[in-house]
Amino acid sequence: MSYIDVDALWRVMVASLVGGVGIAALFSVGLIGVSSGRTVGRVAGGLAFAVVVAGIILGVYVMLDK
Amino acid sequence: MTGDLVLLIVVVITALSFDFTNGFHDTANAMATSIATGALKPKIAVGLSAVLNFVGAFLSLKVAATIANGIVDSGAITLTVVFAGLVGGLAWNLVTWYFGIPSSSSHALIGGVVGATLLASGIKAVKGEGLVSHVIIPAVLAPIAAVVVATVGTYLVYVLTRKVEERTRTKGFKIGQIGSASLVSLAHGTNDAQKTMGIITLALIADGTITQNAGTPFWVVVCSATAIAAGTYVGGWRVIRTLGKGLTEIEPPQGFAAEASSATVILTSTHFGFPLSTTQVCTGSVIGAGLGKRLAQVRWGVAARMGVAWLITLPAAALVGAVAFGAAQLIGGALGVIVVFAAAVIFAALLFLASRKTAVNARNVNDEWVGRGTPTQVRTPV
Repeated sequence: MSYIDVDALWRVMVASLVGGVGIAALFSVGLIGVSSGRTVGRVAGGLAFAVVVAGIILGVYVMLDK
Repeated sequence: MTGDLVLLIVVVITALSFDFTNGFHDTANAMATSIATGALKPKIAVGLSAVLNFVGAFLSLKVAATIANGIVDSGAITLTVVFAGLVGGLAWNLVTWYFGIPSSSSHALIGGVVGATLLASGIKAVKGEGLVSHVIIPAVLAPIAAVVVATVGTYLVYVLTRKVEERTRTKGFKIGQIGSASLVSLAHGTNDAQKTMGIITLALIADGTITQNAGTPFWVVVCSATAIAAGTYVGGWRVIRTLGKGLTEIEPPQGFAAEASSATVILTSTHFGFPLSTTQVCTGSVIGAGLGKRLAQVRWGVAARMGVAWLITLPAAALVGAVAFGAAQLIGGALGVIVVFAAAVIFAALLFLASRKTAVNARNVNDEWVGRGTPTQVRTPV
C-alpha cells in the first residue's frame, strides 16, 4: 500500500497556491482599483472583486459537490 | 428500559457532546483572526460562525455511517468501542481547550477509537498503513501547505497595496476577512457535523433501530447541527486567544491572507480527496501570515507547544479510549458505560471549574499577549 497519494498531493499544493495567492492578489488589485479615484481603476477593481466572488461561489460548489 | 437501549442513548449523548466540543474547539479556526483584527466583535464573530456551521450541516448530507474508516477493522467496531473512542476524543478536546491549544478533533476521535479497538480486538484490528496515510502524513503536510500559501499571499498583499491609503486598506481587508472566515465556517459545518451524524447513524444501525440502507434520520441531522452550532457559539475563547493573539500579532491584511489560504487549502484538499485537518491548516495559515509580513514576529515557542500537542494527540486520546473501554468492560454491561460516562462528566465539570480561575472570554480575548494563554487581568464575564 502506498502511504501517500502523491498525485492528489501535488494537485492540492498547486491548486491551493494558485487559488489562495490568486484570491489574495486579486482582492488587493480590487482595493487598488476602487481607491484609485479613476473610472478605469474602479472598473478594473470591480472586475477583480467579481473574480474573487466567483472564487467563493466555486468554493461553495466544491463543498456541496463532495 | 433494556441495557442495549441505555447503551444507545449514552452513545448518542456522548456523540452530541463530542460534537459540541468540536464546535467550541474549532471556532478559532474561522474566527480567531477576524476577532484579533477587530473585523468582527467577538460575540458577533462566534454568532456568525455558529449560524454558518448550522447551515453547513444541512448543505451536504452524504453521511457515511463509519468511524475511523480505513484505520481500524470495521468488524471491530462495537457500540462500546464507539463510546470509548468518543470519550477519548472528548477528553483530549477538553484538555487542549483548557490549555488553549488548537488541535484536531478528528485526530482525537480517531485516537480514541484506535485505543479502544486495540484493547477490544488487539493490534490486528488496527491498520498501521491507514493510520500513517490518513492521519500522520496529512498532519505533517497540512500546516506546511498552509504556511507556504499564506506566506506568499501575505507578502503579495502587502507589496501590492503598499500605496493604498491605510484607512481604505484596513477597512477593505476587514470586509474581505469576514467573507473568507465565513467560507471556512461553512466548510467546517459541512465536514465536522457530518462526523457526528455518521457516528449516531452507525450506532442506530448497530443497535438495529434503523436498517443499513435507511439513511440518516432527520432528527440526527438537526441534533448534530444544533450541537456543533451551540458549541461554536459558546466560543472556545482560550483557543481563539492563542490563535489570534499568541502566534503572531495580526493586522487585517494578514488576517485576510490567512483566511483565504485556509479556505483554499481546505476546499482544494476536499476536492482532490486528500482531506487535511481544518485546525492544522488554519494554524499553518496564521504562522504563514506572520512570516509573510516583513519584521512581523512569530512566537515559535507557542507554535512548538502546538506541534507537541499534535504529536501526542493520537497516543493520548488512544490511552483515554483504551482506559474508557477497559473500565466499561471491567464493570460490564450498560452499568459500565454509565459509570465511565459519569466519570467523563465529572472530569469535564472539574476542568470547567478550573478554567474559571483564569477565565478567557469575549471581553478579554484580545488583551495583550503576555507569554501565556490567559490574560494577566482577568475580567469577570458578564
